[in-house]
Amino acid sequence: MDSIEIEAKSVAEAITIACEELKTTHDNLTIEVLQEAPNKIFAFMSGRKARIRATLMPAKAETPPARTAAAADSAAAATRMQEVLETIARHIQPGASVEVRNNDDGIVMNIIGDGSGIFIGRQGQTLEALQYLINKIKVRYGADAVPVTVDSEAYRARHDESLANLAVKLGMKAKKRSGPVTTNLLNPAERRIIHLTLQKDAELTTWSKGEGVLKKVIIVPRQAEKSVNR
Amino acid sequence: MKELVKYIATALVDNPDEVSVHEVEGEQTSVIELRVAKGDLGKIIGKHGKTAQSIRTILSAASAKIGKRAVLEIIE
Repeated sequence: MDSIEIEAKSVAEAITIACEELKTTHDNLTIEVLQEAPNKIFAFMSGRKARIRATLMPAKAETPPARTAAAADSAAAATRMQEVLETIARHIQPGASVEVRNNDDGIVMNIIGDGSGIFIGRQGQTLEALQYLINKIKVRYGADAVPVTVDSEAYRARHDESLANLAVKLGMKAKKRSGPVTTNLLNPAERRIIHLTLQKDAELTTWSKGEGVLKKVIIVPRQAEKSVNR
Repeated sequence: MKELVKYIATALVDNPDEVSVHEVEGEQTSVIELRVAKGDLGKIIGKHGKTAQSIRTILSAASAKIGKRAVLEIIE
């Protein structure tokens, strides 16, 4: 590590000299003031000067940007995330592109491919993987408060609709048998749709059961609620 | 394949310089070996292996196109 001591009339002047000597900017230096300059009149009489020690900080890695760049505004971060997702998408299918739009829940990134559903995968698992990774990478670009949804070929809308339909169907089944009906293992976003869809139905109640990220939703008619072990 | 893994890994870790990817090609499957700095291992694996799982899912989507299987090995 490079470190030099500089003597000058003032601390500011000493820093300027240090920057020149080390061929760098003030940002990359750690400045230690060894001796303050006395004010002008006394300096003239005493001949005392300011003395500092300037130490060059190790260069930071440039790519990907370090967390210090996190303060960058979220629009820039969104553009950066679009590039990242596009790069990943093009590795899967050259020629794919990503468009970004905002909605109430955050940013939606839509991958446009050749329509083969390659970005969706079985039960949307590729889409989920891409979304999870992009949200992980996002933290580096300072947009961690805004959730990113990854979509392709309007899969999200279709999937949400089919879950809502499933919820209604299972609700009817529960009423018919006057007992509990259980869904498959669902992720939080999917469970939310089931809960919200059946919330409107005063005759039914729902809750989640299970451990971990994936849980089942149990749908029970209200009159049978007490007989079901939670 | 190799570039894809390298790109994702580099974006996730604190020490991008220490990411190294090595591809061992077989007839039907190729094994992609990923090495990262010791402190970054957790970032690549993730909670309950979720990050590693996601990378593998994306890798299989990418390799489906070529008709070849790719397996990700994270070397400790």
